[in-house]
Amino acid sequence: MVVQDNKSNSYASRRQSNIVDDFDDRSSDMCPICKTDKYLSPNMNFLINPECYHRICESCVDRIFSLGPAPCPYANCGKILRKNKFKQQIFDNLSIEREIDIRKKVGAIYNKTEEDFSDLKEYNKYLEIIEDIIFKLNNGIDRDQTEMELYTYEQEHKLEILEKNITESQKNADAQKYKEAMERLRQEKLRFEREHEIEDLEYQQKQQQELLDTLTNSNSTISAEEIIKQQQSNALKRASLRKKQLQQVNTQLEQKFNPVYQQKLLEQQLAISRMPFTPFQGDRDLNKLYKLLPIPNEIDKLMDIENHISDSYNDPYLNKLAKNKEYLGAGWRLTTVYERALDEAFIGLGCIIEQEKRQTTAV
Amino acid sequence: MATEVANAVSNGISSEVKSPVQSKYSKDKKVGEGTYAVVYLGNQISTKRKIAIKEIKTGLFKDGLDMSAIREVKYLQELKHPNVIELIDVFSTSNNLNLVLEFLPCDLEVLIKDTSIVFKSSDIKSWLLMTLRGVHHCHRNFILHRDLKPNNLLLAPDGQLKIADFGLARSLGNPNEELSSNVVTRWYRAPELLFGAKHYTVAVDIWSVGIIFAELMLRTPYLPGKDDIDQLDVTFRALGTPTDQIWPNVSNLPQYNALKIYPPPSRQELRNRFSAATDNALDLLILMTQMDPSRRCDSTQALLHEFFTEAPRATDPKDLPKKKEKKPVNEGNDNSNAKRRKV
Amino acid sequence: MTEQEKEVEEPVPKRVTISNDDLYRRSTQFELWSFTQESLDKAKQKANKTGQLLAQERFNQAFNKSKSENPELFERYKDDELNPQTLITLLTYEEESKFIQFYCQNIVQTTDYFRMPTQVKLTAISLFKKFYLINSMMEYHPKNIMYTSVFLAAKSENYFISIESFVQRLKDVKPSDILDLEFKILQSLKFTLLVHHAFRPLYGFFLDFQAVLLHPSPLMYDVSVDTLGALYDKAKIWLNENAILSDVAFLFTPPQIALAAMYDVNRRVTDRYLKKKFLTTSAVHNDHEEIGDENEEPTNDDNNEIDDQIKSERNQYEILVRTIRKCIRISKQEKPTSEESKEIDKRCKSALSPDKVIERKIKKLTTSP
Repeated sequence: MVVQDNKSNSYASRRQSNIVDDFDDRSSDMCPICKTDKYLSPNMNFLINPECYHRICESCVDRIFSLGPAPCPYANCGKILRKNKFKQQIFDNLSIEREIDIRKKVGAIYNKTEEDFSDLKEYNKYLEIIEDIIFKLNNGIDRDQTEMELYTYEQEHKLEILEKNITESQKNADAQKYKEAMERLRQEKLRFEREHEIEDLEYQQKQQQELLDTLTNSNSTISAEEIIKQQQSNALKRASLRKKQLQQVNTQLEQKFNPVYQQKLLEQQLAISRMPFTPFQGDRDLNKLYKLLPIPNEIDKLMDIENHISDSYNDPYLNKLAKNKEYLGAGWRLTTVYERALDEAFIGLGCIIEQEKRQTTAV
Repeated sequence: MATEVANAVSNGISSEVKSPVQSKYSKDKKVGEGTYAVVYLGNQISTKRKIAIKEIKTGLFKDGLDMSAIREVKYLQELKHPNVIELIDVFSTSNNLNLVLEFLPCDLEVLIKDTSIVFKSSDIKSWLLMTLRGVHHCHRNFILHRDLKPNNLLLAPDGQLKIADFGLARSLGNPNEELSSNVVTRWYRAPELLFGAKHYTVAVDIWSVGIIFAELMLRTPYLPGKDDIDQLDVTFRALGTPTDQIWPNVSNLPQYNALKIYPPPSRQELRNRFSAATDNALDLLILMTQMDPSRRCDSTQALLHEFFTEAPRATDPKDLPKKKEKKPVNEGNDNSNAKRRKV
Repeated sequence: MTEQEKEVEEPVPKRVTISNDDLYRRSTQFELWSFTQESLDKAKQKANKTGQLLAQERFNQAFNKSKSENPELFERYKDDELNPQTLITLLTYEEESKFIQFYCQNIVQTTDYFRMPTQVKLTAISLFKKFYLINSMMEYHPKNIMYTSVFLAAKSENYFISIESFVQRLKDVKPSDILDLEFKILQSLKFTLLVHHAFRPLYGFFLDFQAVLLHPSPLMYDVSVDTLGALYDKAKIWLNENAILSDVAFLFTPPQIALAAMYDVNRRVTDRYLKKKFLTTSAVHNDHEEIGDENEEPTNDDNNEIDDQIKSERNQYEILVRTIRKCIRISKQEKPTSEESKEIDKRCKSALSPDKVIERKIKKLTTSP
């Protein structure tokens, strides 16, 4: 809830500031570094860095900080700033901007919610601590010490904070999903109803036309009353059928969009994602029965192979092939030949047919 | 019924017992015909499972059963993997060879061409993963596929990708054996094949997979050469002209031809070319499309690449995008089947 | 492997790993073409029985036809020359087996004559043998089956030869003789064409013998790369002379056959290799004892574990050696002599065309009374 309020605030305030900027305060729309004016370059953007909150235009930020951290170009400031910390100013009043930043920062560390406390009193105490810290940081009271305290708290509660973050974001996402699903469900139902309405309308018109046709046709053997009766009973049948259909559609839709049903799907997916990723799905033998000796693979060694196989396999015939330039160019290597032969030497060595086939025939 | 047939076949009098075999499967509809085979859709009667029957005509050719038919049946009999098309059964009717294959309604080419379908990066990862697993299984069995391309990567209704068409496959030869370099559809042909290499390795399949990976990201063929000479030019322009410096001994290949010298692309150029690719995706692509086959990664290295473990995780096959049905199910399938089976 | 690891593994959902042995178990060679001695004999007997029934039927037809044409002749000689019992020729199961062996030698000659690669030769033999596991020579004479096997094997092993150039160099064979049989053979093979032979595993062992026996330093004073090379060459000859003609490919896996070749050529070296390779724990343990350290008294648990491991290793090693020895024994069964083969060939032809036998007999009886 709070988050949303912030958003709407920021939107309103930005609108406001724009109005002010456009008509009154043009001097504040000039970059103090490069002196570019928003009036002449309407596309320019101002950024601030929470280290010092000095306004610098985007192109200056790009120019000065792209190569790494650099001091703030404002005279008398000189704080070391990093490019990735620059952001757009949301509030016109920089002290508000700063307070919001501090709140965010502290809130990310002191991130417990009411449900984490046994009673309201405890929770209020916790909130009080937070407000204290924010006040001190914002007003520069015992800043270093407070920062230190904040840091130690963060270090000591690292895991807790992380866990809380994860559950919160999941809750938000779930709520969001639920809302979306319900909205989709509502829309789908609406769509069906509208379709049916149109169909019904068409049907009615058709019936009326039919009735008119019969009535004007004097040769008709059926009386007008009978036709009306017939049509009424048809309409009744149709209505009940329609009702049934609508019910069916509804249950189908519920299944499709219902959050509970969706939840099940989600859990299934989660179960899958928890399963470890297996690149080969078992289609690999990791317990090969042989140990491969080192096999020369570099061209210069291969060209003088006889002197590079003291610790490797030796097959005079293959040594000759290994030097063949056409073979080498095609990607042919000793390793592939040796490895394959060794693989094949052990593929099936442990299958004792007499035993295994006897078992299978017995079964 | 099934056991009866089995007995009949092992008695060696299978040609006399046509009817029981045929009654195991129904041939419902002809969906494609080519020079050496006709493809039917049908059902396995006992399980109601949908199947495709590839009826290979024999006695048509002066040298007996066609080589591609021999290869197809030879290798499919041995390969059993979720990412390789399943040969359910083989039977004979009069003098025809019938391959009973699992029914696969779509292929990757169809999806790539359907611009109304959006590919997420996790989808591409999933297809690449399945392709590599299938290729790895072939290579583990010492079998080269030699014709990998999007339209030979079929898609099952449950999203599983299956490598099909083993008409050009062969076992890895003995060291001194010469292999034909006239394999693989041109756009997916590795540079060593373009240079007429006769002692190539599993790296030719990896190249094809790399080019397919690129195509999945680009949604258009990566190296579409108009003819064999143009294929060299297109390949060099994209990846640089190979010389003996960057690819030792390439000039010793029978048809080596440097044509024009293009510099290899910088990392930044590749990054621009594949703007959606992560660094890991780019790394893997570069490894699979190394000009020098001895530097190209193999299927094991590719599967162990960080690309597959970094987020996002590969899409579960059943959640992958599917072909959008415009017409009733059957007819839509017919088109793709007729097209992909260049029988 | 150890108890500890097992415990860790249990909570993780069971994952199927396909070991290299499993890979073999999934091949058609294992699934369809591997047998126990008993089931192999049964299959052969069944093929022989079917062949005998067919031959019997064929004979009856010819006999009855001839009898109806020459009733008085058949009446006169019904107890001796024209007695169906003496007139009919049926091959026994042993005869068929011998004849198959003989024809395997012919395949070797044929493929050598065409200078075909070893791979084609081996596959042709395999296809031929499998065909006669399903069919009988009393239905198909082996000559054309042999040529067709060679032709088909050449195609399957990427050594394509056109039917004209193939037939051109053979005597009395037409293209149709071969092409008509090609599909028949494929059917009998249940369309399985991939064959794993023992030669590449043998080469693999030549390499692994080097790794185990020579590196990091030689284990045996008289074993070097050259002696291992010689052993490898002799083992190849051994395979050609023994294994490929016998039934071992149906009974053992290629690596086992390869080791059988090594073992029979040089038992001392091969056994050293096997021991070093497969008795690793006991080797370590023995070394440990030899050093004799009083300080380290292994606990009972440790001891049991090592003992168990040694026992299971021993067991596996013994099974392997027993398998290899059995393979050697079966490989070296005696080969048929050419006289024997000629005799069987004659009888085979008689079984295939009883009409000619009867005709000849009648001619003999009528021309020289």
